[in-house]
Amino acid sequence: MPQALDWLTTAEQCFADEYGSLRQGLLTSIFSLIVGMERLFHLDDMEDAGFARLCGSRRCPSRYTVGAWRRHLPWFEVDAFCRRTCPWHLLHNQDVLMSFDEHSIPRWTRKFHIGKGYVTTRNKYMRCEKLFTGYDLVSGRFLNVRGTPGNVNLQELAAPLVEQVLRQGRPRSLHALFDAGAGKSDAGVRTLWNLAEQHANLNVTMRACRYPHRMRAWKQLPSGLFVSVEDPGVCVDAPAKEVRLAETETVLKGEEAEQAIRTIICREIRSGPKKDRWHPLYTTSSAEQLDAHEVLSMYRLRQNHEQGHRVEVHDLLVDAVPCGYDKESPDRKRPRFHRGPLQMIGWLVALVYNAVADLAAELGPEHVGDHVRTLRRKFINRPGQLYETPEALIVYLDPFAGQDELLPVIDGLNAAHHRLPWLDNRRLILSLTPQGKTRAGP
Amino acid sequence: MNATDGAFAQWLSQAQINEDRLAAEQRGLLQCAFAFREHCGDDYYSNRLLSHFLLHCGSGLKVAQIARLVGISRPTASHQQGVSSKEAIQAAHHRMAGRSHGKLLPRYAGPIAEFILTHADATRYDILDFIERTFGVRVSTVALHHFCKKFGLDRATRSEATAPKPSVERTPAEPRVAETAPASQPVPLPPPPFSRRGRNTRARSS
Repeated sequence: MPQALDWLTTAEQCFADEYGSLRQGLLTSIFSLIVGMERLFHLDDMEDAGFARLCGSRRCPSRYTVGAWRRHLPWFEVDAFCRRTCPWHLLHNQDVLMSFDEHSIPRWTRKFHIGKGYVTTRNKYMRCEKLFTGYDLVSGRFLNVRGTPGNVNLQELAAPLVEQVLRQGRPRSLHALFDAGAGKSDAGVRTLWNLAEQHANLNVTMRACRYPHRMRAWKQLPSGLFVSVEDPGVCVDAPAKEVRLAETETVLKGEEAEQAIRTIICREIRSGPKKDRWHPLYTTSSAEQLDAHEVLSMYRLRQNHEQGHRVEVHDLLVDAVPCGYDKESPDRKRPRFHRGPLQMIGWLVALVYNAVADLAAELGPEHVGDHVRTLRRKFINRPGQLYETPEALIVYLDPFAGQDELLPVIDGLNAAHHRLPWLDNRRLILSLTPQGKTRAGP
Repeated sequence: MNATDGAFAQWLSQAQINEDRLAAEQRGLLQCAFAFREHCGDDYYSNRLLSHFLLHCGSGLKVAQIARLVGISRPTASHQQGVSSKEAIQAAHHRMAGRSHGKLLPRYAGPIAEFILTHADATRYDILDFIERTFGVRVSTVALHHFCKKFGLDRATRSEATAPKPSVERTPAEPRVAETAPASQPVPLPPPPFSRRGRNTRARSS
């Protein structure tokens, strides 16, 4: 709730709100994610007094009000909101390790001809829209977002996203990690390398595309270049995996040999008749800064970003964000694109992800890394009683297992004197049922 | 007997009560009260019981006189007027239980609100007992009053909130003119009913 109140204050400064639906629209969009409401039309079924009060009223919001608010968000107001709510303080004067990646949201419209992109989970090109996000691998938080049509790829947005982080986050040093999508063409690779040359505190590592001619060259490297490294197996008793690392240089298309870039070839040896796996990495960091194995270990942390996307999809329902193409376009074969709704709800999902991660950290070290769904089941979606007095809204939760872990969080929230503007400035108080209370007899 | 009479007269005189002006019933009552003091002593519990009895037995004695008889101040005696016997005993217990300890945390508001709403006739000492039993803290009545006032749980705020308020902004509706149909004309049909506004799907349980 404290974060939601802050976001509401920021949104009131950023959005024009001509129809007065901002508060209910924003709060409903936030809390429907938190409670796990899968689709907006499920608001019709909601008659929960607590949810209504979370959403800025005493009655559950109408999906028409909320939907209309979401569909008519201008991109420049959304950009302003995103800029002001990005957690840049996490980066300020820090050594940052950040990953940039895209998440494709499939669209099944046949009426509108929208751009196609590659959807990895379906392994095919299809109509989609994309959310590009930056993820801080040290703190495990999303830092920025950009909504685009499906035919935009990471290569086009990699440099702008990195520049935004450098400009607004002001880190001491930034090591940016990219998937192969950022270097589909050598021009894209060179753009990032030029950017790294411009900024002394920037390093870039990306997975290289495994084009056949490059693969042939890498496979022909002398075996003496490879150094064998043992990686732990998939589980405790599994045999260790053998990984061979080699350092080489790659000359990009149309460039001189002096401009060759450092390349780390990772060959994962697989037993039996299976083919070995090759993972080539381009990096701007020098061998003195990071050796090959360190670069590989650092690059593997990028999986946490992918895991973050997975949590967004399965726990925070990011695939249900409003579509970016304009359904009222005059020409359905060339629909207009509205970045606002797509990016706004995509960013709210990321903000809720961050807020839930903050909650997990407050709950204690054993909850760090808990998924949103786990925390929702354990601590958020709990039944209880509401007492609305003239001075306060008292939320009295029914007893549940592990409620004592919530005590520090509740005490902190109560001590912060949060007031709800939509309930006549009543103070929000959370209460737990005291343990050891005698149970009623049969 | 003379010694007792002397002590009784002295008790009355220090309370500035003229023995000659007492009615026979009052004199008998005070003699019994004096005997009670002689037998039970003048500790806090005895004094509290005696003052409660004298204040509520309809003896016709003034509050100031009773206060002087039991050795309490006039305002204290006045506060004790109208208090139920249960509350008087609870107050005595609370007074003699020692200093309060612990703090009323905001998160106690939920259980306290539930207790207050489910025990409409509970005294503040009942609430204090509940707090001690539930949270293991003993707080003063003043602290409880401040706590309840802060969260809108005190009796005054609750009664104010539940009292019906006259609406200032709304103007009273004008009386509706009865629709009359002219003679030899059919009565106009009512307009078609609007679609149901209420939800017709099942509500999700909270």
